[in-house]
Amino acid sequence: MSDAQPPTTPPAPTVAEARGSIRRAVLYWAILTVVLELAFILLAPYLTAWQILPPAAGDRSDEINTVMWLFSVLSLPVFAMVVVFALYSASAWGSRARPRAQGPAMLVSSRFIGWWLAISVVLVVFLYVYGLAFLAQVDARPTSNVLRVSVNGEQWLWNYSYPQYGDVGGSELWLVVNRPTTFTITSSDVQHSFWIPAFDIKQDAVPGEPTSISVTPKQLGDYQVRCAELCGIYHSYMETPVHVVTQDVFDAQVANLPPAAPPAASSLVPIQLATSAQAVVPRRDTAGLAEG
Amino acid sequence: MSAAHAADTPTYNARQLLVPSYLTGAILGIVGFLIGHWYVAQYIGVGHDEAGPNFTEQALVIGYILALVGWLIGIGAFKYPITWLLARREPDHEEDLRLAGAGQGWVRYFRFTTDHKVVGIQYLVLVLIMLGLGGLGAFLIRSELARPGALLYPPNTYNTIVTMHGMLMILATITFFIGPFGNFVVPIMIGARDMAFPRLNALSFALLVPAVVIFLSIPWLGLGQSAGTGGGLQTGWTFYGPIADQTGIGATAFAFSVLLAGTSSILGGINVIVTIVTMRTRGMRWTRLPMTVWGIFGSALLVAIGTSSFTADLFLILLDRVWNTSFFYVATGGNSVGQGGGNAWLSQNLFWFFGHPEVYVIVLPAFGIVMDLIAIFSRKPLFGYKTGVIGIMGVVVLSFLVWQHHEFVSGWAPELRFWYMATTELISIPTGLVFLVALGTIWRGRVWLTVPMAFAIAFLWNFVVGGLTGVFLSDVPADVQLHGGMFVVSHFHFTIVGGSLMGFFAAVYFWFPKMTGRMMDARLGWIHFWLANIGFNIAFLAIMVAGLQGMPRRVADYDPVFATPNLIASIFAYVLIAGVAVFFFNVVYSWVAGEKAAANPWGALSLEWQVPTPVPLENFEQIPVVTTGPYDYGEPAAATPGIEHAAGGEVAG
Repeated sequence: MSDAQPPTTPPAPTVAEARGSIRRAVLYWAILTVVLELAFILLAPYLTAWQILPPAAGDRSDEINTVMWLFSVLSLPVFAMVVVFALYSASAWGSRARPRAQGPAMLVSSRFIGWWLAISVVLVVFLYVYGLAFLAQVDARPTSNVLRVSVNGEQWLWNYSYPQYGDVGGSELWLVVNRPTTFTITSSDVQHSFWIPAFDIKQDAVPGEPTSISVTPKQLGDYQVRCAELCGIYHSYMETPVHVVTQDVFDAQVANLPPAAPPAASSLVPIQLATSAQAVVPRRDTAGLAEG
Repeated sequence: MSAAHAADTPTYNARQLLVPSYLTGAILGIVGFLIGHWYVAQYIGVGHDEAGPNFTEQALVIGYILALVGWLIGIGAFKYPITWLLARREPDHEEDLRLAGAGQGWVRYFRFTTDHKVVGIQYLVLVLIMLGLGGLGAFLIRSELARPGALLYPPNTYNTIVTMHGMLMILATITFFIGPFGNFVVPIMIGARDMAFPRLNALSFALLVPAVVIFLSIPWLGLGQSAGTGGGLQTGWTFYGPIADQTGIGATAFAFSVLLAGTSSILGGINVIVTIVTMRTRGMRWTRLPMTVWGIFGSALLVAIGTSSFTADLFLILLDRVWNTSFFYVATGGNSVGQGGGNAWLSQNLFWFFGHPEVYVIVLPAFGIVMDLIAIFSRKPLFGYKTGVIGIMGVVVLSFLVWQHHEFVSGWAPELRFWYMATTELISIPTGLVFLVALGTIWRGRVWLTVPMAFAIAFLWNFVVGGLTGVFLSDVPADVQLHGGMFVVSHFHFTIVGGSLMGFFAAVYFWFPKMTGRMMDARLGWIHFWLANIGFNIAFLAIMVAGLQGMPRRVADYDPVFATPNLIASIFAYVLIAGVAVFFFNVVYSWVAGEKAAANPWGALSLEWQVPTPVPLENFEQIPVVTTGPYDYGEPAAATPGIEHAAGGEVAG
């Protein structure tokens, strides 16, 4: 035996001690839950300022942050329960020595299981209904004053064009603050995923299958589109800026945009970087990676 | 370990040692590959104006097929079937024993051997090698991601490492319960002399070896081609349709080797199912199976059904790449060989119909093992046997009904999301039952804090974090933000590393004495435990923060805004890796020089601890008859153990 064996092992807990321990463990559980909840609730408002959450710049950002906030609040007691009951048992009755006696033959009662299942079901149903309520908003498409943007992913660029403005476009995205926007997204080659973390939206760009998503930008500023689906060598550089501006600035900007190149014919050729016409824009100090 | 058999045949001549063996298998495998490659070059290449676009791929695949045949001949896989088929008779008992490795000493570990214990040990060693190489991948990934910028390798090399880390770890984790423990432990646990299909069992391991070898050749394939075109894999382990068609020649090797490994898993899964259903000894009712057996049973059901879908996907990709079909070639215009019009979502659906059950393949045995170990080391009966079984089997059923949650943002079938959101959240209910049983069992136990018990407790802690973060991802609105980002990476590492891998460590520490005859060193075990758990938790909490910040996954380089959590993650990933390195050292050290183990060092009641160590070739002198369950601990009921042949089963020693 490699485990050390001190001469004595702790005595078996009596029933009265067991009642005491369940009270203590529940108390610890409550304390840990309150501490975790307080810490979380007090710190949560600062998460955006500390850049732990992206800026809540889209119309659904606040709601999604609320969803995640609520899930966190509900998760902490569950986490605390597992931790407290496991660690309490290990510390109160645990020993590195081989036990000489056995524990009590406790079996769960059907009533206990009934309560456990009931609470689980209530939690799941609550989460589900809550999620459903927001699902409708995810799928909602604005109808009036909509800015329509065509998005085309190709290795490793996002190309945008504005069908309402004579199909002008480029590889930087310009949006109007407070104006509902619907993106129609597709891809020329492999799958990409169109993600603007600041707006809490994401939609895959699938070759041959146009998809769409809507958002209303709520804050002026510059944000990032990031590709969220591994799409080849320069996947990590497939990022382009998003500029959220006023309608006036947007109009002036769009007037200067060239007509968008027609989307590259849907193609899937082995990548020849040396001859690729596609520019890979190194956005950081990684010069030397771009070949085209 | 082989002492019992060494006594049978003290001497071997060189021919007996070498033929058949993995050495002859390797030689014939290489010869087969060269013949296949040469044949394609000579006769298929001729007639084309130039070697067509897929010519190298065809040569590779035909080479692999002949290599596989050569390997199987070389290790002796066909020897006995051919002997009997030609002789037109059943093998007698002695021939069966010889096929199972009787009297062959250590050589039996290096050839086609049907004894389930030999196969179990073979699996254990292979799985440890795979985990080690996958861990090397993790080390390379975290090194690159420690700081922003392309630090160490160009992005295509990084993508190759990410892909290989992912798939190697998946192959290892899918195998690491069913392989070593499903083979070595389960038949003894249920009172059988071997698996239901011993030769199929040996075959499933024999297929996994070439699969791993071919897989490990990927980084060297296409190296001669210019940078960016051929070398490596740009797909990720998900290996989605269009990009798997596009990426370099390594993808052909990937598809072939994983197809082989998948076939091996399906055969292994079917074998485990049939063994548990049909080979239980008298009195080993369904309600007396140890939870480990239930967990592995559920896992095998998922493997047998789910993996088929992935192998189909890989097969279609192989056809696309090698024989110019267009299942996933989406290009509308078509290319020079007329490929086009495929569907990009098909691959995702085939993949995730396997991919989601697959994570339960990995975790269900851990559920069972953790419940088992907690009962044994708390010296208490399970808090609720049927509750635990319902938990495991509930997950089995639900796990096939949730895969669309990987498609929440793909645009495929958005009208189904409300339904898959429901099934995904429902799966928390059976999982919760497993936790209820585990916590109820440890409560008021006579808790023996051994290394395996510590890992079982760590499983609970880590897995609950994985489960709770899963709730965020099951919710469509939150998933729209978190999908495809580092939050997902953190979530599934909490379930697979924090959960299943800790369960695997627990299982290794627990059954190592039975499998090798030696105890694992406890002091090294505790060092391993603390390093691994502290490193793991901090590293992946940091990765979770990076995900909340909006960092995409599988990126070779990232915006400096994500720098802090990534640096923390890399530092603590090194701590985790150091812990696992201690584990590997411990395995080797203890196997060679560990303390000799008693037959039942933990005082467990299940059957595998009632047979001597090392376990005799046919496990039991007499097939045991079981009269009570494996958890008859507790005062005062378990004064007498109910298993016949169980010498002092009650807290023995």
